[in-house]
Amino acid sequence: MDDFKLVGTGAAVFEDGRETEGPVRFLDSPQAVIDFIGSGEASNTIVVARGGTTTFLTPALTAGVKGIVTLQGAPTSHLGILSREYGIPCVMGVTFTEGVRSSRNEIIPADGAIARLDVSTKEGRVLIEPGAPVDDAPLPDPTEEETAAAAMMEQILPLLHQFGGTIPHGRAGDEQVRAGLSSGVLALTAENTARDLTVQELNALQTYMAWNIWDFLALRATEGESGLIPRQEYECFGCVQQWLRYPAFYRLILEQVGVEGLIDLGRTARREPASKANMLHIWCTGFTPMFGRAILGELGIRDPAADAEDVALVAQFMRRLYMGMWEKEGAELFTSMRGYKGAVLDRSWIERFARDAQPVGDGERRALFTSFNASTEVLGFLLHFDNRSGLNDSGPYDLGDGRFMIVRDHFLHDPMYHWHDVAEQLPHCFTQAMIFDTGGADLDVALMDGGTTFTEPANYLQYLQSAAVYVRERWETPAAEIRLIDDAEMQRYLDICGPATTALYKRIASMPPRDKIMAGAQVYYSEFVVPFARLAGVWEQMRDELDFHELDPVASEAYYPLVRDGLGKQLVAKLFITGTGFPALPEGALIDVPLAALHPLVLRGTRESLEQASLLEEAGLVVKTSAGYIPTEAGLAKHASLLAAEQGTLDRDTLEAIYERFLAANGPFKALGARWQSAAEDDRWELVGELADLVERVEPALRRTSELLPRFDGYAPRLSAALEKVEAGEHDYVTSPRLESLHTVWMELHEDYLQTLGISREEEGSY
Amino acid sequence: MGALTYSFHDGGEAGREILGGKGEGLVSMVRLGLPVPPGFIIGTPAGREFAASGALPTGLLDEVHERVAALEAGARRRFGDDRSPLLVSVRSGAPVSMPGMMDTVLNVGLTPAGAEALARETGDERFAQSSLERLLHGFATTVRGISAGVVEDALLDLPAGAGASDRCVALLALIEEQSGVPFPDACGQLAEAIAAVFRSWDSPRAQAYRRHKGIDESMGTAVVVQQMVFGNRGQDSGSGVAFTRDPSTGARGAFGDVLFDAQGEDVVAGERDTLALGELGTHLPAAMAELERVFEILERDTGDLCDIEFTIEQGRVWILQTRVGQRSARAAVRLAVAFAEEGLISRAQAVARVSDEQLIGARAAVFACEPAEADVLARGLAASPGAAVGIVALTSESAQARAEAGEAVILVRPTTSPADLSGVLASAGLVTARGGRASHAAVVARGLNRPAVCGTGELPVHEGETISVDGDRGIVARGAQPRRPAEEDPVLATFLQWHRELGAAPVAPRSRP
Repeated sequence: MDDFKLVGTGAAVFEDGRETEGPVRFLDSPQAVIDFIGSGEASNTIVVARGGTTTFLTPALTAGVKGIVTLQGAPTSHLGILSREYGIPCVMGVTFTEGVRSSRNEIIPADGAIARLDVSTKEGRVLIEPGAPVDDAPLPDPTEEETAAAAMMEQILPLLHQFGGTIPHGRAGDEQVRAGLSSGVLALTAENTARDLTVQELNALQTYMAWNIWDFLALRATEGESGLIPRQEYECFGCVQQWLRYPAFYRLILEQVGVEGLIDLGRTARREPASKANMLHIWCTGFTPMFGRAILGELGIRDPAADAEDVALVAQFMRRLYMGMWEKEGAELFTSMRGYKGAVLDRSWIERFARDAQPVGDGERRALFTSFNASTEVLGFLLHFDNRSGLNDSGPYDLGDGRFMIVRDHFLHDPMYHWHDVAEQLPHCFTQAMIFDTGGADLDVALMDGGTTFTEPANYLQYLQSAAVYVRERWETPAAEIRLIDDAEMQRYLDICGPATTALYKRIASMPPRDKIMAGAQVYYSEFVVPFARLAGVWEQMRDELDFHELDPVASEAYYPLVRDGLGKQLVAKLFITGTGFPALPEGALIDVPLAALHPLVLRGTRESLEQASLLEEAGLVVKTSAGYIPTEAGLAKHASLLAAEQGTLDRDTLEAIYERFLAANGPFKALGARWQSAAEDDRWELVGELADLVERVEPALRRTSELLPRFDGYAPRLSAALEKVEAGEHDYVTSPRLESLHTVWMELHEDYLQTLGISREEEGSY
Repeated sequence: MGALTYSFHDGGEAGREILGGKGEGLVSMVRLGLPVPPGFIIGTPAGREFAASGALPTGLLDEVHERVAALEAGARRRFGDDRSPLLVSVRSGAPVSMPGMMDTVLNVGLTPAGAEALARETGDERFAQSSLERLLHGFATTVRGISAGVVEDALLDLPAGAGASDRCVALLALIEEQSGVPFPDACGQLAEAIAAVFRSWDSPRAQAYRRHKGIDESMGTAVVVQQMVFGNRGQDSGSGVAFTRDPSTGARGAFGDVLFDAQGEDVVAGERDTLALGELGTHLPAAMAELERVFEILERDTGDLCDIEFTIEQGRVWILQTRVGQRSARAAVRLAVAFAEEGLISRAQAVARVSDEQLIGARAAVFACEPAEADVLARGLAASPGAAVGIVALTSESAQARAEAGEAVILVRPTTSPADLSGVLASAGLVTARGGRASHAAVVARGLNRPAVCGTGELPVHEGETISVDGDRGIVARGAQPRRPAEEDPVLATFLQWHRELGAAPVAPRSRP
């Protein structure tokens, strides 16, 4: 036995003194997984897979493999969480030093060779029996892409463990980030949830959010590919769609229930288990759409500075829900600020659960519960397209006798997803009340803001002492009707879960990639707003009147670079790891100024005098220089956002048709200007008449533009004034850039059309 | 032929008073042997008679029709024909340039049926429809006197996506509705256009100008009718603007811009990126040779730099306009010396040809020589003359900040918008990646006397580095290229020598901002 050879190390998901031994099987496609399960050898086998996502290995998990080894990924990933729940030893992120070759030239143990997993410490070890096949052929030179990927990994590795290279994970990290923030925005008060947040507060909040999501999910950047569902692709696409559409939905909900009503929606998380209006979903109401904003910014599709009002709206929407959930003046926002504790549920529930809980013992009942917990969890992941939103923990709840409780919801059937037909026999949610007794052993329990429990050491289930399981039949079933189920009913549901999981796995495996993306994006896009809209009573209105299920055109535009061209995967990892997912708003982004106050200045770059100058200066939007007032960066960003807002209300087709007629006069005008500059003074007189005709010709376009946008009404008089001077013999008023000449006014007018319509000079080809 | 009209060939003795300024120019171009599109002139006496009686002189239209018949014979096309129509332009031509006179009406002789024929003949529906649109637009505003605003309103009322043919339909309806008379056939168009030119002599604007300048009211205007030629008839056609020598530096050799398959308006407006004239030599060598012949004739005739507008229609070169060319101060001196040394003018003429202001400008420093090829960052259009050395600023804000800190700045932008004006003002020179001579940047740089090179493409420079902008040669170069005091320029020295010999007052060097 001792001549087994160490061929690879990785991260053990949980520690267990017992060694696991069995033949190895490499699975690299959903079909391979399906075939493998059909072979009936699963329970005896150690499977090797590439990525760290859950759903690819779903059938293998439900069939109960002996062990799992992955080439990529980290224990905090979905697969890590699931293998822990199943109690299946799992070593992740293993680079094998010896073995045969996969189709992609990865080194892996040969199928059938006997491997042994040693997970007695956090460094999991994979050993292989003597005489196992070895392929010594030299590895081909890495491709340029592989080299680049490796180099990038090298660069980001330090950033996985230290945020921005300086701030650690966990409580110490929380303290450090907070120490750098002066704002009280991270504490919820009646005052600061009732009003609008300032730019400084929003930026402080965003700084913390960047660390918070890194703390929770940075390691996921290493999880690698999924094999079944292209999760990162649909996530980034879903985030984009969220950012583009959620603000309108949030406004609708807010309009319907008001600020107090919104806070009350947040209380649902206290009042009811088995509701998707829970901690995870509340966290996501802010984090995921705002991530979409950063993605659009990275793609250069939308300036992150342009949507300041939406940032304010989304951030405050999330905070108000949190206010209801924590229900305490001065409450700290996130579990990461609360020692990673999230004992959300009202005490009356905990007391009821404690009364109902029955010991699990060490025999059949423990096996039943473990299996039930894992099977409903994995099906929840699969039903939500490998998304965490099918799972939510709260706790730990101190029971006062040395024991503590974790309450876990597994969400299954939801009528908003058509593929949930496979789960029609299953309820909306199972709630598991799990009571732990460590008997004095050290167990650090951390409840992450995403509603996931991580423990140290990881194999917390060994301390499970008693449990109770409840059912909520449908999302709208009254909380009072949540009912306890017995072991027989658990077994009955368990028997449904298996076939449902297999059926859905096969169906997803057969879906074209784009369908998977769209289904996944639909989950992502629906999950974090629909539960709240349902409770607010506006879901039908949102669905039917606001065309909830339509794609935003900008999201469609983002689809190709993000998903087809693979930018999304890189972007998500980059934004997570580098903490750039929450771009700061420029100062002054939320000052309430009309477009007309900034627009003339931005058009010309400088102005000697400016209306409302002191207000704009105070807001940091303009500064006075020796050349006159100029817009600051914040001023330009504010202008861009106001212009974008105007574009949203613009009758674009009409304006474009008018602009076309302007362009028809623009060519002759420019030709005339060039002729003017090269003509002798004596010959210029006959060009004056042509200039007059052009001014007359452009007047109707200006009049009609002013009817749409009154701010255009200055141009016609300015052109006429310049023309009058020209006709009176002041010929400098044709092209001089220093005067309000025809050329000066005309160019400004052209620039105004370009900015108003959002057309670039390069695009139009006019310089 | 009758007494009221003159062909470009037989108008020689009539003179400017009868032929008008434009007419006389065309007659002398023909006399020199330049390829001018054929046409004829209705002399000022007819205009005077119109002014007196309010009607076209008896017999004028008969004479006009005979002249048109001669054009038809030469062009092998028929005026007003529905299969192969001959088109003409009609323009005013008083002996003195003045405002308020009628603008040119182009494509006279085209009708909706003729446009269809033109489309069949050229296989270019868009060309035919836009030719008709141009005629209808000009006819409505300048001939029938419908205000440009009313016309524009009618066009704006068209549904979105309307094309040239929709606009033609609208213009036809508008002409009839506004003036009560339908759009006429070819002969009717011509008669009305001629009458409109004569009428414009009495436009308030023209009257006011004559009163102001003391111009003889009885002078009257001539009318020029000329066969249309088209530069947009395929890749063997084109339009351009050319100078007989470089108007920025005065260097020998033709200089200009050309666009293939385009009308002259496209070149002048800079709506498309033009090509250097040299491309014409590669693409259509025979046309280039013909242009060079024209340049030589013109310089021999005027003893000066000339510029021309030309069109090439299916390989054949037509000269539309020539005049003595505008030039930079430095070029003025070099050209004066060159033409004197070539024996085309006397030294006295050379000295007289350069104004004091030009002489001051010519004494501004220039780059000593063309930079070494390794130093050349980009070549573009010499959009505004002069030599500037400075530190690159990539935004107008940074240009202003650097200028305030006392640095000499070169503003480098992809294009310029009105907001860049303050940046240009703060800079000693300007470089833009896109745009031609009519671009906003070029117009502004010339207006502010800043050396500028436009259309360089993306420039490989970074903020803060030093570059040189040679607005005479159209070159952007690395580092501070050596500048030479103008006095060391042997050509300028020669000129100053002549200047002294001929007793003119000394002129001080100009200090640049």
